[in-house]
Amino acid sequence: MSRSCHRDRSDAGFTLIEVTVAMTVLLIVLVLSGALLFSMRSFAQKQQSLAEPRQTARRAMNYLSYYLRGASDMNMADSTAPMPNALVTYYNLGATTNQATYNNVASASLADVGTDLFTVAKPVPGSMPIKVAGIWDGLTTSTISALYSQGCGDSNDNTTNLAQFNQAVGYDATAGTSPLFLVYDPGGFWQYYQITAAPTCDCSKASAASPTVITMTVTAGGILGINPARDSSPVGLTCSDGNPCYMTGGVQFVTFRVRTVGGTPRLEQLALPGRLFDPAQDNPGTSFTPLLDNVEDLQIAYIYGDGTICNSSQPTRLLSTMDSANYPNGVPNMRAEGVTAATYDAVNVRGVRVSVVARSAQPIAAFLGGAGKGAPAITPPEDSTVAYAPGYYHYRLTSTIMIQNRILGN
Amino acid sequence: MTPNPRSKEKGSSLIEILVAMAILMFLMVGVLSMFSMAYLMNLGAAARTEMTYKAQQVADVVRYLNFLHRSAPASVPASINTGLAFPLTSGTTATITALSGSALQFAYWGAPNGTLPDAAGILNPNDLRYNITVSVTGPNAAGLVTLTVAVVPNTSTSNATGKRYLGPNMRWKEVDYVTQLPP
Repeated sequence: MSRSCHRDRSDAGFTLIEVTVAMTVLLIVLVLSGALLFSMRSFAQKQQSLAEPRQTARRAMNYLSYYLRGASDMNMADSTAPMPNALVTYYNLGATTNQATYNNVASASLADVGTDLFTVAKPVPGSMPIKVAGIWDGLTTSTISALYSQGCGDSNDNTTNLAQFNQAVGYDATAGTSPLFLVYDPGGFWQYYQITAAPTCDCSKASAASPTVITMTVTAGGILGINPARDSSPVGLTCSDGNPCYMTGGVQFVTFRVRTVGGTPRLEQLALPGRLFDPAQDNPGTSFTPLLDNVEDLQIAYIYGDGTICNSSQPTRLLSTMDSANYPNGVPNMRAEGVTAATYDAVNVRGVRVSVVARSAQPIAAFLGGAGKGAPAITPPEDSTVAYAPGYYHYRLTSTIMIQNRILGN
Repeated sequence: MTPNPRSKEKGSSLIEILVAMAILMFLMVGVLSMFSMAYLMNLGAAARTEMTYKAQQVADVVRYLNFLHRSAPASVPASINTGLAFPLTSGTTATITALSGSALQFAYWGAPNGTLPDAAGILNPNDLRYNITVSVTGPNAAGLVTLTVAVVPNTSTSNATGKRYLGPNMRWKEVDYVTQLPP
């Protein structure tokens, strides 16, 4: 017998039964592993869908809280004067009264229908009250002087002092303008001004009887003619050497809205120096900056000093139905100088309750149960009329935010 | 004499293969169980984050109520609805998630309704996965009272039919949020 034909027992391969048993065992292992991996994938995707809206809502709320808590009237003379600035619901743009805060927007060009749009004002970092003097003539261009000499030092350092002043009021040397700032008189009345030419400094006048260290050209109402909302002609500011006016600069106006772009709803912000939300050009306009995608709803309820929370989900708490004459648009009103504020005017707002509804980036996959599966209750405690997109996980975050400027000492 | 080369070509036996596969399977199960554990850890972390935010929400509302007490005492919601009496006094402890049947015992923390249109709207009795206790100590040397909002996952004792958080050792997790208020 030739050697090549010899079949040693040790050379024998697997029998068919052996291979079949081995493959069966392998198949069982693979099936179990596959099922586990598939379930892990489902868990991971579900977890991501659950986490996304939570993270989005929290980021949105953190961002909004910064501006809402820091919103300020910047009126050190009388923070309760009936001319609030922290919440800007209306303002005058030239001869036109514009609405800057909306409850349940009706026009899709302004924001997503049913969401709220709101505007607040806060001081630019570093701003402080500065004593001023000048000719106060209502709404005309003037030259005013400011007693600001902190940077003069012992050597009358005009350069340093001017640099500090420009920083305090937010003056932009390149643009040649500052943001709007407030000038208020001892009675608490105020109006917006804007620096429209480079200020000059003369530290040697700091010790004069009527010090005019900083001299600046200003435009009442700013270049665009922005003034507090008034029912009648302004009475102007009443200042004198004995009862000086002060300036607080500059004002940073910020408007937030929710708008869907390309099928994705997003939180947007408008923050431009010297300008406020203008429904005539921000519809939708190109000035808003996108902040966060997948924010579907933004709702604001107004918290008053008497414990009332308006524009909540209760019909008895809707401003538009509580007093349709005073609040036809469903937002707090602002009054003219010297006019007594109504109970639910903006000046009496002490805080806001904010609800943000965010959604997952992707619709819920069919293998996770499809639309609505596992989605938590999202109905805000405010008067939302938003129809939330079906098929997504949603998450609502509600926060009670007190305007610190309005609850001093608390 | 040249050794027979085929003597070194002996293959593995079925037993050897099965033993090897069994070991591999145990290893795979161990690795995959780590995935599962990671998932549960993530769930636990997400739950703790949610509890932290919930504590902050409650603290913000108590701050508002305390402001109301200081500025317009008559406007403060009744303690029967909030579980808290103002002024806040040291030693006060209230479990604001306590249930009365399937509803919140202190309805102020739930959604606004016809009876309480100014309710806080931050707790949903149907999705109550946590138990919240508010406690007050102080005032301290600076004259401020210390408010502690403790949030712990729901248990069969605190809410027998309520939903549960998932995650390792979730029953023993607790989030404390501390803030100070003027009395």
